[in-house]
Amino acid sequence: MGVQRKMIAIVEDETAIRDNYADALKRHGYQVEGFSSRREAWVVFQKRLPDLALLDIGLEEAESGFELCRDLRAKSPTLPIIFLTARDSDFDAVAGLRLGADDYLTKEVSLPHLLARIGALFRRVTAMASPLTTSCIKRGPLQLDPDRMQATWNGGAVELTVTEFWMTYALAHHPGHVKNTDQLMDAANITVDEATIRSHIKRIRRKFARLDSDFSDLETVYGMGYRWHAHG
Amino acid sequence: MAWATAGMPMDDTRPHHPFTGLRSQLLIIALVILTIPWGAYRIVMGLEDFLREGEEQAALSLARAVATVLHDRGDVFAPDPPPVSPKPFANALPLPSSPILDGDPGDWDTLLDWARSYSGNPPAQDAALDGGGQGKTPPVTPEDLSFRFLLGHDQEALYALFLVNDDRRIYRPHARAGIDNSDHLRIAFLGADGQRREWAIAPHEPGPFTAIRLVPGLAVPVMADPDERVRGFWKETPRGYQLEIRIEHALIASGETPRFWLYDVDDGRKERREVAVLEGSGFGNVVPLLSRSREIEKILKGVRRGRERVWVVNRAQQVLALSGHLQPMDHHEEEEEPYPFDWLRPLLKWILDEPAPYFRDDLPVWQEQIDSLLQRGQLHWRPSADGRALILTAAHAVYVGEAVAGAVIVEKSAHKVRALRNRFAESLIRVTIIAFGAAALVLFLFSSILVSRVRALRQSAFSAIGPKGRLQETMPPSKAPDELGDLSRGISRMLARLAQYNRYLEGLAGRLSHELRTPLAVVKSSLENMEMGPLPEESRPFMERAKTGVSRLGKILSAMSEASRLEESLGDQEWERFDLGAVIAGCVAGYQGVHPQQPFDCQTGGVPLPMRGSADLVAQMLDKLVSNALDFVTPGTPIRVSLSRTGKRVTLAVINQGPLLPEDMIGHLFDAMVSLRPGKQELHLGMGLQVVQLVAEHHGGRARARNLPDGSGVCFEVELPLA
Repeated sequence: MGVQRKMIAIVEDETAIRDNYADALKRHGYQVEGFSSRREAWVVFQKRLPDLALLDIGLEEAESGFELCRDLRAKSPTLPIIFLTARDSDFDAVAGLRLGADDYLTKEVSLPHLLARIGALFRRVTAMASPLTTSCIKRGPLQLDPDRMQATWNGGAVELTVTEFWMTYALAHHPGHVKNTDQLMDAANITVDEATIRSHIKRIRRKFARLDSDFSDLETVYGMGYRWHAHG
Repeated sequence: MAWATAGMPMDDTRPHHPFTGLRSQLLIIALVILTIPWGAYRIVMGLEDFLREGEEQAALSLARAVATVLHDRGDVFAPDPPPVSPKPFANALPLPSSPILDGDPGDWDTLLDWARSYSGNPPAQDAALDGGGQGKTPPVTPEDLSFRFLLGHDQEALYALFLVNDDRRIYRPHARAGIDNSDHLRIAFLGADGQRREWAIAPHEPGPFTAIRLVPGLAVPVMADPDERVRGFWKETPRGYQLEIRIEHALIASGETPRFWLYDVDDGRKERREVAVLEGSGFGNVVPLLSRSREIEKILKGVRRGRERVWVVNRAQQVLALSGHLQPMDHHEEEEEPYPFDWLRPLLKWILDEPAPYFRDDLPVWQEQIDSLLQRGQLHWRPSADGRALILTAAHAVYVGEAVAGAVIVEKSAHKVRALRNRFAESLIRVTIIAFGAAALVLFLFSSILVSRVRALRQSAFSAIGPKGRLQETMPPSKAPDELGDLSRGISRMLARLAQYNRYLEGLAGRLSHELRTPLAVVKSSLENMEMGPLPEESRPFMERAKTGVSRLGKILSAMSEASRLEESLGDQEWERFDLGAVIAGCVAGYQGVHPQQPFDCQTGGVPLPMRGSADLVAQMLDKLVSNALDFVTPGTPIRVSLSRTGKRVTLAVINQGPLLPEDMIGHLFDAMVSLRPGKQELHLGMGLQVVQLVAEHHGGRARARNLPDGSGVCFEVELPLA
C-alpha cells in the first residue's frame, strides 16, 4: 500500500452530489478533486492524471462523459474509471460502446458500497503490479482472479466491470448452487431491483458469448435465481 | 361474471330498428312530397266544375240559336197539333226510309237511341247493360249475352233490329234440321188469317237469310219450308252479331205486335238461354215521332257541333225532330291512344272514376221534366237511367208570335268534360308519379351516400383507437367541403390532440422519475455522509427515519420507471424456443421453496408446450401473478397454477381463494399505476399487472382477470400462442 494518499477525480455537474461524494471520500482518507464539466477536468488531467476517476455520464453537454472516458483511457490503459448514471438503462448503451470503464453505477448507490468498490479497484491496481497469487479459482474454461478482478474464458480475457466480476465470482465460487437475487446483490455490493440484476446477468452472458458462442454456463433457474453450471 | 379485458369494448353500435336509420327517415320525409301530386289532383278535379259551366253555356247557346232559327215558323209549330192517329204498330217507330237489309243499323239513324237494352237474365233482373260497359255483375255477363232491340216500320213492312253481344256464336250445322243446338231467334204473332204463326231464324252462316216457318204448337220445332215474306240479314260482328229482319205488313194481324225470343246456345244442350222481348215495351210518355220534319232535321244537322242530341218538341210534347246521339253508336269509334307508361293504368283507374262513354239511356223522357225545364230554369243535369253518366239538358223556348209554341232541347253528356278532365289528370298524375319516383330514387341514393359516409367516418374514428383503448394512429381527415367533412376534420384533430396528450401522459411517469432521481441522490448521499461522521444519539432515530423515507422514495421511483424500462427492454430480448411447461413448473417449485408455508398446486399437464419468446419475461410475468396471489390468498388455501391447451393456444391460470376483485375495477386492473389496496400502508403501485399485460401482448397473447363463479376467489388468466 502506498503511503501517499490516492487522488480521486469526480466529474459531476450536480454540485450537491459532487460535494457529498467528495466529503465522504475525503473522510476516508482520499484526496479529492471535483470538476463540473469535461473541459474543466481535462485541463487538469492533461497536466496530471488522477489515481481514479468518477465520471457522470449525463454531463451537461451531450456525450461529453463518453468522450472524457475515451480520452482518459487513451491516456492511461490502467486508470480505474467508474461511471455514474441516473438510470441503469444507460448501462447497456455504455457497455455497448466499450469505453473501457471498470464499473457502472447508478447515483443511488450507497456511499459505503461506493467506497468498497473504490477500495477493490485500488487493490487490483496493486495486485496487477505483483506476481500472481493463488487465490485464482478455475471452473472449467473459466478462470477468475479476485485480486486483479480479471476473468478469462479459455484463456481469453473477458472484460467485466467490478459489479459483474463480483456476481460472476459469487456464482462460480459454488457451481451448481443457486444464488437468488438478494445474494447476488450482496455479492456485488449493490442494492437494486430485480430487473437490474437481470440486465447485469444478461450483460455478463453477452460478454462471455462474444468469446464463445456456445457459452451456457450461466444458467437461469426460473423462480429461484441463477447458477453457474457445474462441470463434471 | 365480468370478463376484464384491458379497456372497454369500442364498438357498441346497435343494429338499427328498421325505421330509425337515416335513410328511412329521409324516405318518410320524402313522402311529404306526395302532397304535391295530391294537390294537383284536387285542382284538376275542380277543373270539372269549370268545364261543366263551359258546356252549359255552349248547350244553352246552341238551343238559343236553334230556337232563333225556328222562331215564327208557324208552319212547323201548328197551333193545334193534330191528334195522334192510330198507328199501325204501337211500338214500331216510323222509319225515315226503308232500311237496306245488310245487318248494318246505320240507316236506322237517330232512331237507334230508342232501342231498348236487354241482358241475358230473366226480365225481372234486367240489369240494363249494353255492350261495352262494366257495371254490376249479373249472373250472365253482358259479353255472354245482351242485346238491343228496335222495332220500326215503313209503308210496307215491319222491321226488327237486333244488336246482339254473344261471345260464342254457334250456327246451325248444314246437315242438321233441328234448330235447338244453335243460336236462333223465334218470332210469333197472330197472322192476318187468324192463325198463330211461328217463325225461326237459324241460319247456317252469316249473311242473308229467310225465316223458317215452324209447325205451331210443337214442342220440338221441325223444319218447314222457308218463307220469303220474313227475311233479313245476319251480320257477324266482333262482339256478336246484328240482325235486320223484315216482316211484311200483310202477314200480321192488324194491331198486333209480334213477339220475339232470342236463344243463345253456348254449349250444345248444356247452356241455353232465352230472352223474351217484353211485350208492351213502349217508349214511355214521350210520343214518338209522328211526322218528322225533314226541314227541321236538316237545320239541326247543320247546327250541331259535337256529340249533342237536339230535340224539337211542340206544346203537346210531341217530338218534331230529333238529331244527334249522346254516345258513340259504334263501339269501336273511340280507340284511345296508347299512353306511355300504360302500366300505371290500374292505379289511375282506381284514383279517377272513368267516365263511361256508353251508358243506357232509355229515351222515355219525361213529361214533367220538359215542363219544369221551361218553367224553372233552362239548365238541368240528370243522371242516366243506369247512373253511369251525367246528362246536361238545356232548353230554350220557341216563340211563334208572342206565345210559346214549342221548345228546343239540347242534351249533352258530361262524358266529354269528364274525359277531358281525366286525360288531364292522368297525364298529371303520371308525370308526378314518375317525378316522385325519380325524386325518391335520388333521395335514396343521396341518403345512401350520406349513410355510407357517416359509417365510414365512424369506422375510421374507431380504428384509430386500438383494442386496448390506446390511440394507435391518427385518423386521416376528409377533404370534403361539407359539414360531414368538417366533422371528420374535427374528429381527426381531436384524436391527434388526444394522442399527443396520451404520449405526454405515458411519458410522464418515466420523465418524472428521472427528474426526481438527482435530488433523491443528493438527499441520500447527504444522509450517508452524516451517518459516517459523528452523530449525536438523539439524532439517530431521525437519521433512521430519513433513510427509510429515502429508500421508499427510491422504490417508488423504480416502480414508476419499471414499465417504461420494460417496454424498452422488450425490444432487445432475444427470442428463443422454450418449453412453457418446464419454465412454469420450475418457477412454481421456486416459489414453493421460498414460501414453504404456502401450499402451491401446479398443473402443467405434462404435455410439451413449445413457445417462441423470452423465457425470462414469461417467468417475470408469472412472478408478478404469483406475488399478487400471495398478497391476497386466504391463508392455508393453495394457490393453483395451471396450464391448459386448446388448439394452438395455451392458457396459464393463477387462481387463489380470497377477496374478490371489485366489479368496477375489473376493466382497469391492467392499467398502469392501478393500486389494488387503497387502504394498506404498504408500498404498492400496481405496476405488476401492467407488466403481465405487456409481456402477454409482446408474445401475442392476452391477459384477463375475473372473479370465480362461486365467489370464492379470483382467477388471472394469460392466453399465449404456441409455436
